[in-house]
Amino acid sequence: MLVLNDIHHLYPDGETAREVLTLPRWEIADGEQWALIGPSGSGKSTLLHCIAGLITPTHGTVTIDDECMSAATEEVRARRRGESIGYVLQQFNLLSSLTVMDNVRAGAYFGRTPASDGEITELLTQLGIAHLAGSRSDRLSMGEQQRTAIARALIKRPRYLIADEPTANLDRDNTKRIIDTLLDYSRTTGATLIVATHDPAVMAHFARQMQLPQGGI
Amino acid sequence: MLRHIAWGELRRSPLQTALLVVIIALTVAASVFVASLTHGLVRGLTVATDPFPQVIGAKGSAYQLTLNTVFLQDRPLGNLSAQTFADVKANPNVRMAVPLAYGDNYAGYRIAGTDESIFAYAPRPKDAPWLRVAQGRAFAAPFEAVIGARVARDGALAIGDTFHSVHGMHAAGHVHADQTYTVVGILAPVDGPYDQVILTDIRSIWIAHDHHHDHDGHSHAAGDVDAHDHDGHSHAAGDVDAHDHDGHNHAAGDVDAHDHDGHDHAAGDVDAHDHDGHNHATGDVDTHDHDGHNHTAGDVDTHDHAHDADNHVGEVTAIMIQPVGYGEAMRLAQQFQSSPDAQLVFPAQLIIRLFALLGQGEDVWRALAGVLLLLTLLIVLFTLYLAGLRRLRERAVLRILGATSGELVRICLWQNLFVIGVGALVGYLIGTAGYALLATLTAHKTAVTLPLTLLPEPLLIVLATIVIGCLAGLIPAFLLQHKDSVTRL
Repeated sequence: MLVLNDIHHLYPDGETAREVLTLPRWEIADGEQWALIGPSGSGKSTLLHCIAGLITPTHGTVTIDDECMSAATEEVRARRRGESIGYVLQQFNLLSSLTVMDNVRAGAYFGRTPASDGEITELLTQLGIAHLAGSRSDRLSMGEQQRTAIARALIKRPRYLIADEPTANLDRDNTKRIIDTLLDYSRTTGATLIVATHDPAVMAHFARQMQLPQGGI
Repeated sequence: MLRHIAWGELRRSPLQTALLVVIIALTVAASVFVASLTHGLVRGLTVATDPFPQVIGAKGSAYQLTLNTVFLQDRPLGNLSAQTFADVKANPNVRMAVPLAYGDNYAGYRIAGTDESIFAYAPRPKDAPWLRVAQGRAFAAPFEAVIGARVARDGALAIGDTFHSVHGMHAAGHVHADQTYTVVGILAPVDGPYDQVILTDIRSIWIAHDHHHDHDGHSHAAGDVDAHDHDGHSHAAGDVDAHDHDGHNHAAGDVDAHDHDGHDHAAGDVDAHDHDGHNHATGDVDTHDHDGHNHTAGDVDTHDHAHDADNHVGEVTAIMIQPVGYGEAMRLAQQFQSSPDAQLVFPAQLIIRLFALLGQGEDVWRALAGVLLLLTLLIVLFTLYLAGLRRLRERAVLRILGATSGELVRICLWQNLFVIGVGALVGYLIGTAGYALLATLTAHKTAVTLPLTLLPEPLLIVLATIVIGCLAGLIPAFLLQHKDSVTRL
C-alpha cells in the first residue's frame, strides 16, 4: 500500500518560494495500475520523486507499506528505492559510460538483487535488445534506450514500478511496446505501476487516473 | 560494480584522465628521481668511505686527500717520505699500514701502487679483507697488475692483457712506453671507487716516475732512455722525478738508458744485474751512485751496484690505516695534529660534514617537492571535482537505482585512486628508470657507485601520494555528494 497524504512541495523562486505540487491524499493499493496525468509543470515528476524518496516533500507524508518514507533518512530511502522501486525516466536515464548489459547489471547491483548474465540476457531478449547487450548505451536510439532503462528497472523485480513520461520521445510502435511491457510486468507480478503521462494514447491503457492541475490541485 | 562505474566514467574523458595521470606521474617521477639520487649518493659515499677509517697523506686539503685516496678523483697531494711511512708502520697505535702511490692511469682508470698487504687489509680487525682477488692472482712483481671488477666488466682489460701506463690523471697524457704492465688478476666487486682501480706493485710507480726528473743543463727526448752521463752522484730513496745531475736534464719518459761514469744502462734494465759489492733493496731503483757499472734494459730491482746503498722504501702518496682500536685511532690523530709535513684524516667525518652541507639543500628540496606534490594533488582533485559536477546527472541516475551516499562517495574515491594511483606508479617507474639510467650512464664516469637496489624512500613517496591523495579526495567526494543532483533529471 502506498499512501500520499497532504503533500505540498515548494521550490525556491528568488526570495520567495513557489508551490509546485499540492496533493490532498492519494492511496494506491498493491498491484494497481495508475496513470498520473496533468499538463507540463503540474508537478508530476516532483510527485514521482517524492514517491521514490529522491526528494522529501515540503509538507505531508509518503508512506510505503506503513513505513513513512518522508521521515526516513537518505540511507533508508536509498535502500528502499533500490530494493522496491523501479524508476524509468523520460530520457537520459542510462549510465552512458556503460554498455547495455552493464546498465542492467547496475540495476541488479543497487537493487541488492543477484542476477546472472543468463537472466539479464533473457530479459533483454524479451525486450528485443539482446543483440545490443555489448553496445555503449549512448549509441542507442531513443526507443532502445527506453527499453534498456525498463530492463534495468525490471531486473530487480520491484514491487513498485514508476515511469515518468516513458514514451514522450517515441513513435507509436515503440510507445505501445513500452506501455505493454510495463503493464504486463505489473499484471504478472502484482507490482504497483504508476505512469506519468500527458499522452491520451497512453492514458487510454489505464482505468485508474490521477489528475494533477497546473500548480497542483 | 562501483569500480566498473568509476572506471567507465574516467574512460569517457580519456584525454582529461590521461592528462591528470601524466601530471601526477611527472611530479612523482621528479620526487622519486631526486630521492633515489640522494639516497644513492649517500649510500655510494658511505660504501666508498667505509674501507678508509683513517688515511695519512701530505699536508694540504683534507678533502683533496680524501677525494684522491678514497674516491680516486682530483690530483694527489705531495708525497710522504719513506721515513714517514716506516714510522707509521712502526707506530704502536697502528695495526696495519698500507702504502698507496698514485700518479698514473690507463684509459682513465687510476693506477694505484701498493704492496701485497692491501689484500689482507680490512678496515676493522674483525672485518673480512676489503679487496679480494676473484680471478687470477695478486701481483708478485713490478708491472704486474690486478684490475678492479668494473675495469674488467667494461672490457678495458682482461687477465693476460698488457698495457702502458699514462702519466697523470687523464687518459691523453704522456705514455710510459718503456714499462709494460701485465694483468694477472681481477678483484671481486666492492661497489665503490676501487672497482675502477688498477692495482700494481708500488715499485712500478717508482720506476715509472724515475723517468721524470731533471738533470742539469740538458734534456732527453722522449724515449731517449739509455745513454746519458751521471757524474758520480746518488739518488735519494724514492727520489724518482726531479733530481739534479751535473749539467743536464731528462725529458719525461727518459728513464733507463744513459751513461754514467764508466758504464751504460740498457733500456729498461732495472732489476737484476751486478754492481760492485752492494745490493738494492726491493723497489730501490734510483738511489745509488753509478760509478763504473752498466744497467741492462728491464733490469730493475735486486742487483749489486758498486755504491753505498742501504735498504730503502720509496715515497708514497697516502697510507691507509687500520688502527689497533678506537682509542689508538684518536691517539694517532693527535700525533699527526702537530706533524709539519703529514696529516691524518677521517674520511667518514669529512663525508658526514659534506652530508650536513648537502642536507641543508636537501631539506629545501624536500619541502619544495612536498609543496609541488600537494599542489599537483590539489589540481588533480579539483579537476576531478569539476568533472564530477559535469556528471551530476549520472549521479542522480545512480541514486534512482538505489545507490547510497556511501556508494556514491566510494565511486569518487575509486576514480581518485585510479588517477592518483596509476599516476604515482607510472611516476615511480619513470623516476626509477631515470635514476637507473643515470646510474648506468655514469657508472664508469663517477667515483661513487649509485646502487641499483629497491630503495624505501621512493616507495614511501608513492605510498604517501596515494594515501594523501585519496584522503584529500574525500573532500570533493563529499562536496559532490551534497550537490542537488535530482534537479538535473
